[in-house]
Amino acid sequence: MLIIITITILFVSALTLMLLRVFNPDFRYSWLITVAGVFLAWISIFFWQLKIPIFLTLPSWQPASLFANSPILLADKLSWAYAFSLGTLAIGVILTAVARENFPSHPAWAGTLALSAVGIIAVLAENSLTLVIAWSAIDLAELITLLASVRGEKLRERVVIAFSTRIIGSGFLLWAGIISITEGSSQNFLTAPQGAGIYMLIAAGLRLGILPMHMPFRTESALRRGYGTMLRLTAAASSLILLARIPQDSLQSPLIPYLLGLISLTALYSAWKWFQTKKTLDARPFWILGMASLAFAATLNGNPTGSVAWGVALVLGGGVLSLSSVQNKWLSRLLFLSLVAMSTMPLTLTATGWESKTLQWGGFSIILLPAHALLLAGYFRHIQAKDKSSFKSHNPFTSLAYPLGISFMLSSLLLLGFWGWEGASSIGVWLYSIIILLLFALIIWLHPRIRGYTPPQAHWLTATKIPQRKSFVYNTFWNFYYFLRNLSQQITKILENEGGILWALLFIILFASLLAEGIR
Amino acid sequence: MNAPLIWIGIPLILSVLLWLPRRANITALLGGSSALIFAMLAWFLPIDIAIRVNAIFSFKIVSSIEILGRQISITPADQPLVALLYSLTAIWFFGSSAAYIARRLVPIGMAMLALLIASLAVQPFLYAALIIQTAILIAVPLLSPPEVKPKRGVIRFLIYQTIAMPFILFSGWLLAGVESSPGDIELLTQAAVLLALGFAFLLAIFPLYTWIPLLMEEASPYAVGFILWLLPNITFLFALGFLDRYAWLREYPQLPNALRSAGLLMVLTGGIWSAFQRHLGRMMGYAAIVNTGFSLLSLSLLADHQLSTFFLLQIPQALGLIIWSLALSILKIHERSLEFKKVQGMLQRYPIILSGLLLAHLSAMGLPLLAGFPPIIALWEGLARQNLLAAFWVGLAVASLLTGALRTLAVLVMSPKDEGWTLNGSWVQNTLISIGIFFILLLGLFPQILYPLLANLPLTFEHLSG
Repeated sequence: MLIIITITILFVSALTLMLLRVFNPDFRYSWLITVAGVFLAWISIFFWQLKIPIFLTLPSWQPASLFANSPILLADKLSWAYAFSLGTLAIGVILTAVARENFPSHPAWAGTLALSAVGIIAVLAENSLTLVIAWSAIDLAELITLLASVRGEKLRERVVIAFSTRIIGSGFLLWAGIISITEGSSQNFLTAPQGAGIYMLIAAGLRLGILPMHMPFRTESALRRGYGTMLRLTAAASSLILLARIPQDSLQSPLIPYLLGLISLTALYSAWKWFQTKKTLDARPFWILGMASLAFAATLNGNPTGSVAWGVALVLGGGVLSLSSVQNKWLSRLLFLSLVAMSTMPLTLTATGWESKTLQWGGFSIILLPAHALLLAGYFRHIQAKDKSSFKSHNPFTSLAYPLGISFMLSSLLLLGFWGWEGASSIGVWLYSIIILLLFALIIWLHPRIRGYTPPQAHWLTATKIPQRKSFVYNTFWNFYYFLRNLSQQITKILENEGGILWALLFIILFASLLAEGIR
Repeated sequence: MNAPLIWIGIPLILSVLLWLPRRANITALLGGSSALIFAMLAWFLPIDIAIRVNAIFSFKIVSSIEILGRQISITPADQPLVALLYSLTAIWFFGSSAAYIARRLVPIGMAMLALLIASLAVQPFLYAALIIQTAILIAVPLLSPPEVKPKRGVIRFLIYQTIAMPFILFSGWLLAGVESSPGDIELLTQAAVLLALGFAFLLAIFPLYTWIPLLMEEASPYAVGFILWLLPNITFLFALGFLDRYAWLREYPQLPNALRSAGLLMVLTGGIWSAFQRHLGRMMGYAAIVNTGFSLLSLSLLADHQLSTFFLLQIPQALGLIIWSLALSILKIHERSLEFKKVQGMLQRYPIILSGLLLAHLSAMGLPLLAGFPPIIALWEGLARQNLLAAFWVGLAVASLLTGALRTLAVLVMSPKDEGWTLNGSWVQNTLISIGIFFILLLGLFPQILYPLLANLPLTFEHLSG
């Protein structure tokens, strides 16, 4: 019931906004209605704590003999953290909307509310069926938004590629479900068999852009800060929850150390790019990739709580930075608090990030720790960035609502360090946090002193340059595609030409004789 | 009053009368409304039970009628099936005016449907082959208007469908012998092979489906869509009639394997071929082939699922074909071509119509959230329980179909000139497609709303319904 209340509030508020836009476009209190809706939803998420874990079985699919699984939602100590962070992000987006140049924007607010509702459904998914449905909703929303906002043939092509990658990721999760069923289990995450875990990892990796590392759509400037931030981070959170749901028993594969190596390199590279790139919105995909890699590594280390910690830090930390578009001394100082929350120090949100519950070789920490330090250093740089407007250009109302939005997010980041979920009030691996802080301090100190730290951007991963740098994998894939295409065209030509009927009859006679032999 | 007169006789007479209106939208409205009325009658009107109107007057609808010594009967068990066929036909008819083909499709479609229902209701059932052949002949003017010289696709359609008839008739002749001497393995084998060949032609099993992509290029996509929905469905029901009637056939040990192999061949070839098409119509043709493959695969699960998966597939597939073919027809009317190079970047000009097309395509491959997903996932799971390799091949076929959908999406969004967004197509066209999109999403999220409609359908086949 509690889950339904939250989701209903968000959807009803979104619907109200759209109806107001159609029937009363001059209505002056739309923003207040939006704030009320999102705030009530946010408060209602707190009330989940009274009954956790909460199961919500949605109307089951019929006939029951065909559908062993139906959409089910589960709010437990892990998914609550994600749901809370998405609710907080929605509040942040709506409250800081007053500082955007497109204020008021009913469709963007309605989209934010609806997306947060779908995102919450995704993070609460109890089985793969529920999750893929929520993923598809988010993917379609993203596709429509991006196609409506980007211009140019090439960029649109990248949008389609991004959509394709995500759909393929969903396909892998469905396949994991199929594997579970063949091994006599259900599609429930808790009972996933050994064979399914690796497909779940691939699914999450593909959707997050980690496995193999890819950045299908890098330039995000076309998207507005508010709705664009919600879209990007909801998509990431909905994929990250899968990492927390994969049972450790199902991750017994000899491939795991190799995956960990690959992920460590991805983390390091994206952290480096995040540190280097000047504009926060341009750098955001690297932030997502870097933090998601750390979450992935935590999963491979048998630490789902750590994975959630990194995921929530990605959403809230990335969200608050992306939404900060107004220059203010005090707000900038407050933003440094998020660095504390993400530092893995005891009693912070990410304290559990470096715990490991497997006997995995810990050598990859040599790569992962600097990656984390670079991510923090990059964050520090982006807080100090000067490409922001100031309050002087906004009305007094903005100077009240905007800081409130930022403060909501920051206080949530700090709150999760000691309350509300499985990883709260943890001491963690404090030795690692000290190393990271030292590395962080070193990077920040070295940054202005070494020119090589800020070279012109290396663009090998940018969207526009990929066609010129065709890799071996890329060439092999396309050669195989062209081979299959030519083959299919030849067969089609034979069968559709004048002699096609004779060929078809010949085939049929062959089949018939084979069939008759088989029956005998 | 008798049931065959209501659902076969009156529609046949109506099909002649429907040629009379001069305006296409009136034809579509009349045809659609009458089909809807027939559907409602089939749903609500009891057969073989006296209906008391008032104290003096009561009447009963008799289930059978005898014509020239042959019996045509529509029993109460057949009613849900008749209701389903007429209601889906009503949707096709309502959409036909938006595709500018109502004046041909509605009268011909009504006659075809009446005949095909007759083919399911006739006793001895062998006459069904002849009635189906008549329906196929009637379909020719729909696919190729009298003033246009028939092209390869139509001729090939006619050839392949006609070749099926002698196979069915021969197998029927042999089946009579099997009934009298069930132990004759040789006779049994011959009957089974002939029957399989007959249905291979009727269902356009690989490689006998070349007429489908050819027709999609030549004729109105909406008309072909209607044929691709109606004929395979009736053929499947006809085949189920065989299985229901002959115990030896449904208990044939090789039957599930044969159905699975044929189904896999269809989904794989259809899926892979669709991935490489450069014509939107041909792409839909191959997706229709995949639909047939899915239906075959669902029948291979008879032992586990009975007919539930088969009937669950029917409405999403029909809905997808309606929206897809309507969108293609509208695009062809406005742009004259469905070639990739001609439709590049058209999404900005037809956002609603082409969204419908894309969603129908994605639904056909079972994208979660869309109508095709629940039945396809149920089928996939059922297949995986029996044979994981078969499930893998289905996954590959779905991935191929997805490739086709993504290529279409890429072509439609990659406008060479950066135009603004405009809304082309009439409001009726956009509204119909929007309604279709709504239902695709609704059935994807809540497939259980179809359950009351589908629950009684398997009862038509009492030995198969478990």
